[in-house]
Amino acid sequence: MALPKRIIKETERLVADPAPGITAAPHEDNLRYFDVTIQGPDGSPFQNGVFHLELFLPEEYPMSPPKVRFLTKIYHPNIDKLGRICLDILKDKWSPALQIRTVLLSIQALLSAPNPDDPLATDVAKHYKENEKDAQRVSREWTEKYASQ
Amino acid sequence: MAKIPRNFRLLEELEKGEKGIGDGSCSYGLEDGDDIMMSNWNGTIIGPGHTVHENRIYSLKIHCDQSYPDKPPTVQFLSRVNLPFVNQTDGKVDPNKLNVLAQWGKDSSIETVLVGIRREMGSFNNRKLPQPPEGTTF
Repeated sequence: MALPKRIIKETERLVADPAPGITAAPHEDNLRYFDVTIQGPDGSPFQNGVFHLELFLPEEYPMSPPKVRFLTKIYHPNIDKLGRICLDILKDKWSPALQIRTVLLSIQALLSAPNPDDPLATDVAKHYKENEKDAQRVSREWTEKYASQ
Repeated sequence: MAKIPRNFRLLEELEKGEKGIGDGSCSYGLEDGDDIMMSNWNGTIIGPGHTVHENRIYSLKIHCDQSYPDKPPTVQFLSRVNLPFVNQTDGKVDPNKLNVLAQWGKDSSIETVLVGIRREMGSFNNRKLPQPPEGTTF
């Protein structure tokens, strides 16, 4: 099965010139399936954490967005217990002009800027809205517990 | 075709199961909503009408290991039931005796397993088999 040229190009660039704090490597037996790590951004409650994710490019990519999910537990209002991510560019705001790199950078940015008004994990969002300081403390605890290497 | 990795395949199945399938006679979901590897599932089958199973609610456990969906899941009844493919001491389903497991393929899923078992409950040979008291468990 031939891999579309676009996916080959994107993969080459991801490996040769990775975005800061992000790694992405395809599985040997499935070149549409990537192991991803994202470092928690400095100044966020996720700082010093390394988060593992998995990313899959469906048959329709780039007409359809990549599928991405966290494998590391994370206390964040837009990421649920199964690691699913609420991010507009992964859904209705997807455009074929975006790439794996831009998606991963957007996820990294989401860690710096949680959006409790568009929650996926409603209990975490409630916590963030009612007592941001305390919610950030829990996010830091989870980062230390689950995302430290 | 692109090969969908196990985890994304199970996420799709989960989302389909959460929406509810068909007429609701079969349903399934994660045993533990925190189970990031999505290995352990609960299933429910409502016995088909005009059979000894009518209106009975059967609970099952379904386990998808790392080889899923290349290999079928393992299936075990929690509710007592008398069917030729169900071990009568522990409720385990014998994959060689149940078509949907023996002929597992790329279109098979947790849903097709439950629907297949329910179809067997209503088959000519099984629809009148004597059954243990309703509500008993293995």
